Amino acid sequence: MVSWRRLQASGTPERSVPLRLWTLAAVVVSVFAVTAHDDFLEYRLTIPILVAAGFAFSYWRMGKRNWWVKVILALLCLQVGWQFLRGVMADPFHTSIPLTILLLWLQTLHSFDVPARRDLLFSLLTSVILMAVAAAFALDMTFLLYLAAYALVGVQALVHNTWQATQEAAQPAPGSPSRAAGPEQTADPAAPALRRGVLWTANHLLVTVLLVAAVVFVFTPRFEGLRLTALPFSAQRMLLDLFAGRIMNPAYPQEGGAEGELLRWNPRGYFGFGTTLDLRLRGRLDHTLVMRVRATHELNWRGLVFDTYTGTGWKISDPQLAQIDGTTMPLSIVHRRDEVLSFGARPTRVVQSFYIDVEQPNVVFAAPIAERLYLPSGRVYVDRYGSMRLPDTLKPGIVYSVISRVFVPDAETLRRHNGEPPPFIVERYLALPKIPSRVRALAEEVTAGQPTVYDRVRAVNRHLWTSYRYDLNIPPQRRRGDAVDYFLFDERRGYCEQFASAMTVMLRAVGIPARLVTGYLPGTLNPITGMLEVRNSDAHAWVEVFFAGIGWVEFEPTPGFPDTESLGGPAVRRWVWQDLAALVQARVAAWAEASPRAAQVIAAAGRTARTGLWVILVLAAGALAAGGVRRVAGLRTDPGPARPALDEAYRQMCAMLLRRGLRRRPADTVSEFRRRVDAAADLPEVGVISEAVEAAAYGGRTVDADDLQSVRQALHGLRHRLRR
Amino acid sequence: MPTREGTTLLLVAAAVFLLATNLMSGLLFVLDALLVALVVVGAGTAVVPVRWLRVTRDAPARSREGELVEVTLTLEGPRGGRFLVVEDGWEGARGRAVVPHIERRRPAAVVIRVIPSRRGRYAFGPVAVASRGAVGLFSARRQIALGGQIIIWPRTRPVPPPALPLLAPALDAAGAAQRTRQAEDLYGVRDYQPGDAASRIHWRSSARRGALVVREFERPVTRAATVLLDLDRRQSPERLDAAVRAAASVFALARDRGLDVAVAGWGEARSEHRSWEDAMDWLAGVAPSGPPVAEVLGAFRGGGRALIVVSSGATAPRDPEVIVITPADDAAGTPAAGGLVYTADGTVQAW
Repeated sequence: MVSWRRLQASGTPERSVPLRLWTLAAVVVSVFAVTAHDDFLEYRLTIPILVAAGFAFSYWRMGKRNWWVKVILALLCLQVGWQFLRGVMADPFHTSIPLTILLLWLQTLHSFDVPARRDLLFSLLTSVILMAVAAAFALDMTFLLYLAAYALVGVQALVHNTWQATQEAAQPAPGSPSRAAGPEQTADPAAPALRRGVLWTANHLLVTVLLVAAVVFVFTPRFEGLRLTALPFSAQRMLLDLFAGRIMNPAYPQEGGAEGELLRWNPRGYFGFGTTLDLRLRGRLDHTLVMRVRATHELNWRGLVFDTYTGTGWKISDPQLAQIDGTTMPLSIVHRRDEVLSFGARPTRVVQSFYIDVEQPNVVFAAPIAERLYLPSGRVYVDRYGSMRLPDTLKPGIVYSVISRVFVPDAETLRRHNGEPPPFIVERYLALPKIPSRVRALAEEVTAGQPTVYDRVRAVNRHLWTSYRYDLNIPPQRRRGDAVDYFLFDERRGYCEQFASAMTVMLRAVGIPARLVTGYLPGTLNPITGMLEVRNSDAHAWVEVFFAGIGWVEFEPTPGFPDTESLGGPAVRRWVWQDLAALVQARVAAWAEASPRAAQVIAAAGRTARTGLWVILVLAAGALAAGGVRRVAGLRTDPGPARPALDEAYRQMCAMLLRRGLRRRPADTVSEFRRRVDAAADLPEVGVISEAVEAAAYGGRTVDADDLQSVRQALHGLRHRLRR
Repeated sequence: MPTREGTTLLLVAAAVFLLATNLMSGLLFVLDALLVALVVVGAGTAVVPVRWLRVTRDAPARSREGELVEVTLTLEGPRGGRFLVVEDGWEGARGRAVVPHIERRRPAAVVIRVIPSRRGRYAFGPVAVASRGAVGLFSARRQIALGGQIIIWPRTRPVPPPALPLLAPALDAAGAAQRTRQAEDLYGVRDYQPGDAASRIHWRSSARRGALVVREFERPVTRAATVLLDLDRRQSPERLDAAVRAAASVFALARDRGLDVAVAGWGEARSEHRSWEDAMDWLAGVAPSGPPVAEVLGAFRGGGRALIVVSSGATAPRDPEVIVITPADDAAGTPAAGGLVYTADGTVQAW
């Protein structure tokens, strides 16, 4: 019986059309925000249309008996619930997708039964949840457009809802004494104040809300996350098993041609993602955004490891790959002997999710050493160096996640691990072709007197940083011969590949196992999205050095790039303002670096800003001091909060007197007008009000509540006196 | 205090924060900031206007049961305010009004209309100002005591014509006086006053006294009646209210007819009031606190005044010289046919 009554009950019908329209707009915007994601594109039009139809239907059926609507909606809810369960059972790794679809359908069905204000509020609440879902799926700043639109309509809906609630609150409760006393007064709905009060309030409020939101965002603490979730990987874009045993680089599909044949430069892809790396290639990579990374730590994303120096470049000499299959995620990666030694130290768990924007080679980019993979594929191939290949290239829209164990040791730790490397490391990573003796001599000269392996590595590092210049405009190698020798002694400037090759060769020359690796720099953090944006120009080469008892440790040989010791920190800082400041600083530095004139402007601006800051501080201090002195001396001219009310009272007094034929001439002072009134009639209240106005206007006196009260009493008395 | 909607939004914001932290999603942090900003702004727009609002009241000193009372409140705040609900009045009669918008530092007047249902002397309660802010996520309420009081007079009803003959014994004196006035019988003499006609001078008496005296042909107003209200302490306040309304109605009728009418009663002590305001003020505040009217009837007899007793109790006197008005619904005191009764709203009618 109770259930039947509940089924028939619909609450007090809400007849405010603006409130319904703003709520509908909020729901539709949230649906558009969610369906902007690839996985929900098919719902982009159908759901908003159905939601709008539902709101119209609900308005039409408002106040009628709708038990049959509720029954149909309940049955449809069961149906979408069943669809959700089927979706979860079909793909337990992507529960968020069927869950979002369930939310979309529930929102749609609910739209057909929103008779009361509380139902509209519920719709608004679920639209907030949909916006949260949209934000979780969103990768770029486009979401902010949806959020701005949502804020606009959401604030309008809330303000209209508050107005309706306020009007309800002004109605007496049934049976209350005041109801017995008589009807209540509410504002006239047609009053201009009301129109200002609702629409203007909402618009005015939106600006305030957005400003406060910006402040709240900047000061919201961000802690390390990615701990309680199944990591994302694309559900609908699966990798095809096209693997033919080689690296497929979309920018260099011809790779694998005859040895010695020089590839043609492609600015849209890095030449270092292949089985060979040719140091004779010249060119600049463009700045296309190739991937976004959501990670707990800021690290280089390693792709490939090269072990053999050929004199003109590098190659991966061991083509053998171990195939790892799995039917459920994650895939656990078993590394081979060269990498296992790295697990001797206490690592940091680093979680990374990669969102591909531009097609990439079939290489898994990740911070070494990858342990677990969440891939849109049940198969991955691992070489002896810990690099991983995929069955197909990484197409745009592909998402994969990696959990790595990373060890970034400090200098003291590395100095302590000064032992001999095992023979299988020595055999592979000390090998060099015949190189000019001056290269070896330079390496010995640079490392002479250094007590530990680490110090010798740092010595080479410092030598390269201080004696050579990073330059992307180097001409082709003008003579045949060893590429490292040409870089070190002839050109003395070059790309990161030249620096990394030189460091690796010099270290091997003095008996330190080293290898060249390629991949991407961490990228630039977008403080809004919290994602690292990796561009084509972030493709990079660096060096890994073997330390006995620790394993492979990264070093940055190229000047101007962050030292690897500075990496490993949180990808996002605790406070957004820190990231914003860092971003601005980086942009300004890049601008200054790009142009000497810009550097001068920035330096001048800095000096001006410092001077300006001092001027502002001095002026502010002066103003504060002056304010204090005036306050102490009683010279403050603060008219007091009641001054406008006093002026209003005087205006009313003049209006009353005007109706009695006593007009204040424009030239009349307050005193003059008072004297004229005194001469014409016995109205002592005019004296009271005039004296108060004069004291406030010319006597520097603050008008307080008592003054205002006496003026109001005088005005009241004057009104009665004039009526008589 | 956050409203139910505000609490829900805070919980959602907390959940979004946890989700944003776990997913490390900057855009979720942006959404969370927006939600928190809504709550912060909602709290500000609710609390600030109410906290610093100044209110002054302009209300009448007297009104009557069933008549509209307009209480004008002037609101002013340094920060303005939106969507305020203002409540004012006194015990049993409080009214509310909505103020959509107050501009900062500009006074805004709002009229609260209440219809008092019961006579009495009331102290105004505090003015209650409440706001849910601009977005309804926070509510703030403040009570501002302003003092002041109001007297609610009892409701009066016109006495329908069928009941007038039953009041004739009280009104007859008035009729006789009228006839006397028309006949211009000599009533007596008095001292001469400037303006008196010389033809009215009574020379014989003037000679006897040594000062001018004039003849008076009209008797001074002798039409007089007392409406005696039974304040028997055993009756309920509600029954007394009806009796008070009936007494006020008869008092108003007699006054309109030009009688020298007084309203009287014996509560803690004997009370008698003749002026309109005094009588109505007394009737507004009178309470059942005295002996049965039959015991005090003697104290009000005589003086040439007709006596009309309004009694709600069963002890109404059965005196042929006294006009007694009793409740229409009182079975115990049902008057004989041809008597006068009053209804709960104070209407006096023939039984």
